[in-house]
Amino acid sequence: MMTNKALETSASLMTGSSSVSDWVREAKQGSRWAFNQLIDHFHKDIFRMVFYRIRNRPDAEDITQDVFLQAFRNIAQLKTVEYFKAWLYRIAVNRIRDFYRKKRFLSLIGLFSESERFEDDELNDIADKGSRPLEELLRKEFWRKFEKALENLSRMEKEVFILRFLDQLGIREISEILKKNESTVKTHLYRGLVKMRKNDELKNISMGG
Amino acid sequence: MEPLKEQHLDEKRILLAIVDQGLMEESERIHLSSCPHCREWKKETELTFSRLGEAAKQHAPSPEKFPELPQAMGMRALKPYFFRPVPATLLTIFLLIATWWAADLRIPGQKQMPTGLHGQAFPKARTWPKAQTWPKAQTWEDEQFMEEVEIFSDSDLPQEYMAMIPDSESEPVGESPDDMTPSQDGPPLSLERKMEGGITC
Repeated sequence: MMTNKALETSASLMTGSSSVSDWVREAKQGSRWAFNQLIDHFHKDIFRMVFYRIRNRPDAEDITQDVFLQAFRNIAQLKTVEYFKAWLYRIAVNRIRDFYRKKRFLSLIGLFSESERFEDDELNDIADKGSRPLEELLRKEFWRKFEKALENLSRMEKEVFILRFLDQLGIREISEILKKNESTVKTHLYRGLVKMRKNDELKNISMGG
Repeated sequence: MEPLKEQHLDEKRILLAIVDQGLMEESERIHLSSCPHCREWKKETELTFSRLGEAAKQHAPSPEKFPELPQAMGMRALKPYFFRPVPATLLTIFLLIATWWAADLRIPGQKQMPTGLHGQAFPKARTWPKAQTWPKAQTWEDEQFMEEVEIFSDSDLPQEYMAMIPDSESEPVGESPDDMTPSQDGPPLSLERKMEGGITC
């Protein structure tokens, strides 16, 4: 049995702070203001989370919009207020899967080519408006190296690694998001870390090279 | 024998400690908490991964659009809905039915029912009156066409050239089918003649 103190700690771990829990409670009762507070609090994290997996700013923005729209429509169905953050990330993971499914279908019928995406979108859509060419070049180089560093990891190892170290989520949150038990998440994370340590690219990236 | 403290953890045990120290054996946990070398190594390794996360954050663009809720979007949310496939398909089906229905209506101003080839009324008013006159028009066109062909074949050369040609030459000489038929002047070939002297039946 968990004590009240332990439950509170768990709640603050999952949502970030008690004010978030309050906003979720209010949003569940239909408060638009409270939901806007939640958007304000989480939208950058969700955008980045989507961007790490898609590497295309316009698409990441569209998916972020969809995530919050879906969350707004279904927040009344959220049973445990404390799991709001994990629930939001889970919606995002599903939207990203849908995005790739759609892309695969389009490439199957010949309306979308993988090479086109890499050449056009990845090189042009990463950049911030008004960013300098050198910054853009470094950005492109970083994501190219990042992709290379993760190339030996399986899909699940990659997902767990990104959730743990890029999205900076805990093991419990990751297990909630991916609907896997904690020991499975730990196994995938451990295997991913072993593979990453063998890769020389990791040191280059971490040292900013 | 060296003390336990000197047996440092290997890289895999350090990585396991990063994932969850609870997965380590008790002795390894005790060693990690007491050995500055292993603690430092763990901290360094952990930092390598954390720095990767920080670098990713730095190299990600910031969003330009702020997510909007449905009511805030207002009528803009409805516009794309209109062009979505299901309403578009329904609209197309409706237009097709409407077009078919309009074609099925009697032509305005036409009071009598058109008649068919044999003077019978067509069962449906949708049949066009032109269908009634089609066979006659077709016959007339055929006759006219054949007349033109005959005129053209009779005077295939201009008149002045035709005058220069003698009558005997005007007719084609050779192996035309006409040459092979018996002339009217000669004795008629008949079955009776062949049967001369024989029994006529």
